Parts: sequence; structure tokens; C-alpha cells
Amino acid sequence: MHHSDVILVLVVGMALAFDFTNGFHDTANVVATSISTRALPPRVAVAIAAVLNFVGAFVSLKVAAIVAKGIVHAGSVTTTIVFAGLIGAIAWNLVTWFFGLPSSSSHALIGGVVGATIAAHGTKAVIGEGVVGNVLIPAVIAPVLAFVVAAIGIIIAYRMVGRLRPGRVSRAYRLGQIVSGGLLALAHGTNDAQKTMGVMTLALAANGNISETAGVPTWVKLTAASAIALGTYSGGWRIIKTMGTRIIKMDSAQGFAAQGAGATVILTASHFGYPLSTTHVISGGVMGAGAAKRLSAVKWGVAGNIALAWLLTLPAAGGVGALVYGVTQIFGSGAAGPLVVTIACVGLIAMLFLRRAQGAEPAAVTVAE
Amino acid sequence: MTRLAVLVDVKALLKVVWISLVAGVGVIAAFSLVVLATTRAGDLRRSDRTGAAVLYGFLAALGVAGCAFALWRGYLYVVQK
Repeated sequence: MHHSDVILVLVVGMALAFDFTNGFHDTANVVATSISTRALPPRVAVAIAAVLNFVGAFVSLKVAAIVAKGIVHAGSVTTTIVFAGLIGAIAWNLVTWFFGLPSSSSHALIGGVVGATIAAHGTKAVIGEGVVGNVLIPAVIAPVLAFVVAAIGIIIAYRMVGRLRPGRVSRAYRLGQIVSGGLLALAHGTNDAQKTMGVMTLALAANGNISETAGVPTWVKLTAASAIALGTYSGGWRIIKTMGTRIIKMDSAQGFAAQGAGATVILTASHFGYPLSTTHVISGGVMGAGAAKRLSAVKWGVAGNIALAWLLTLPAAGGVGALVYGVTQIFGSGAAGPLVVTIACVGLIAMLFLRRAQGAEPAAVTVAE
Repeated sequence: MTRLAVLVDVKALLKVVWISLVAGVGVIAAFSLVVLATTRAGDLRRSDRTGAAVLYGFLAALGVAGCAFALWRGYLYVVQK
């Protein structure tokens, strides 16, 4: 086996590991509102989300195409760059999961790849227009849009059902949440699973296994969809708690409005190929549904922490991506560097999970279940 | 502004904004209509006001149709390559 094939195998492994952490990290986006309003039992909500994420991954491939071709010049990408970018993204996902912060897996991935590319070739290898037009501007617009849609929606909903008996209304919106939550999971699959597909396609093209203009191979679609579904089923309870109860204490109508707003924004953006952050969108929807009822209903301190994590995502993942690329180059251009980094990462991740397992049961589990 | 227009596909971005606004608010309003109309229809039926109950039943059906249409359109919209 040639050393470049060894690196490709490591990249595919890391891409699927990232996809797993993406599902694990973003379960909260999809199920937190349904769980906190008791529309669905936690395990059922997570299982439905996992299945619909799998289905959603096959629905559209526009986002995968943008990630593979619209962020960095495909010709300057090597498998080692993709590898380093993935490590940057996984590292940021694990750090934010550890602190229970709902940050963007998508931006972590894009940040990681851009950082590693800059470390290897300088800024000329990055498609500036692509990053600004496809990532940064939608990143600002999407959460604001979800905020506005959820806020207007909940104002209309309260006007319509405000004088009815609360018990009946809650039951009805809980039923609605089962559908809106399902749509959200589908939307998540259409947007997020594709980013990993895009990166795997980029690595295959960089290694010469497929042409730069080729589409996403079927085995890539299948493995990426499975990894995100498995990650979703594993569930990131710490972030579920933050999303479900720490930003606002929501009722089922607010939950429905937040999910409805989130699903429409993500599905529409996916149609146009914008790889936006589902985390940003859902958080915006949750805040909008809360703020429209009462501005003080939103815990702005928690919202501020989340916003800070959003701002740090691209540079932090990019920094780790660049650093990892630099470390791999110490061992030459062969497979030794990526192998050493992989072993170190697996050791670190095992230690992190062991520490978490030895500690107290996450508070979110007791709250949610 | 011109520089921004070069960097961003403003037309596509504006489409994302207005479609999300109309579809998102529309679905929430349509489902709220279903909740309102079914609850009112039940109350009116219990108090033997059948005519008004039928009218609210019709409104509820309209709301359900609106939600189903939005879901179907949304799905078609996403699968279009």
C-alpha cells in the first residue's frame, strides 16, 4: 500500500469520526425542544432523529458540492490537508461538547480545512469569495432569519390560541412538534451529512481516486449517512440541556415555532447550496420564540456564551487544523505524521471519555430522561 | 454594495430570506389555525351549536391542508437538484 493510500484511509476514518461527532453534537438541535416540552420521550426523539438524519443525507447533494469545490481550490488540496482540517473540527466539536455549548460543526469543519490549507499553501489557495459568500454572510443571516420567523410565528400563534384552555393547546402543539421535529431532523441530514461527503470527495479527488469534477460516490453517501445517524442516536445530552432548558423555558407552542422556523430556514438554504450551521439556526429560532413572548425570558448570558463560541469556531478550528498540518510535516510528507497524530488523538479522546464516564452522570440525562 | 454583490449571490440569498419567512410563518399560522378551529369546533358541538361547529371544522381542514401543502412543497423543493 502506497503511503498516500494510508493517509486516505486515515482521512476517511477521521471524516466518519467527525460525522459521528457532528451527529452526536447536533442531536440537541433536533430533539432538545421536543424533549423539553415533553412532546416525545428522549430515547424515542433521538431514535426518530437518527433515522430521519440518515434519510435526509440522501435527499440533496448541493451542500456537498459547495464544500468540495467552493471553499478552497481543489487542485491545491492534499489528503494531509483534509486530515489536518478534520482533526481541527473534531477537536473543536469535543471541546464545545465538553462545555455543553451548541457550536457549529459545519463551521468547525470549514475552519479546519481552511486553516490547514493556509498553513500548507498560504491564503491564495482559499477561495475568499466562497468563504465570505457561502459561509460567513449566511452565518450571520441564518440565525437572525430563524429568530424573526420564530418570533413572528409565535406572536401569531399566541394571538390565535391565547384564549383557549392551556392544557388542550399544549397537547395539540406537542403533536405538531412530532412533525416539525421530524422535518428538522430531515433538514439536518440534508445539510450536515453532506459536509462530510464533500470532504471525503475532496480527499478522494486529491488522492487521484476520482476526478475533480466527479460526483459523490455511493459508498461515501452510505457511510456518511450511517455515521451521522449513529452519532445522532448516541445523543449529546449536555448540549440538549443547554438548548432545551438553559436558553429559555419553553412551552410546546414555542417549541413548535422554533422547530418550524429552523426547518424552513435550513431546507430553503440547503436548496440553494448554502452550508449553514443548523446549530445557529435552531438557537436563533429558540431565542426568537422566547424573546417574542418576553425579552427577559431569554437567558442572554447563556446566549452570549453561545455567540462567543460561534465567533471562535472558525479561527479555533482553523488554528488547530494549521497546527496539526505543521506537526504532520515534522515527520515528512509520508504517512508517519498523520499516523502519529491519529494515535495521539485516539489516546486523548479515550482519556476525555473515560474522565467523563468516571465523573457524575451528566445532569442533562436526569433532567431529560 | 457592488463589492458585496460580487462576493454574494444576493438574489439567491434574498430568495432564501423571503421563502423562509413566508413558509415558516405560514406553517406556524396554519397549524395554529388547526389548534384553534378543532378546539372551538369541539366546544360548539358539545353545546349543540352544530352549524358553527361545522364552520370551525372546515377551518380546521383548511389549516391541515395548508400544513400538508407546505410540507409537500418543502420536500419537493429540497429534492429538486
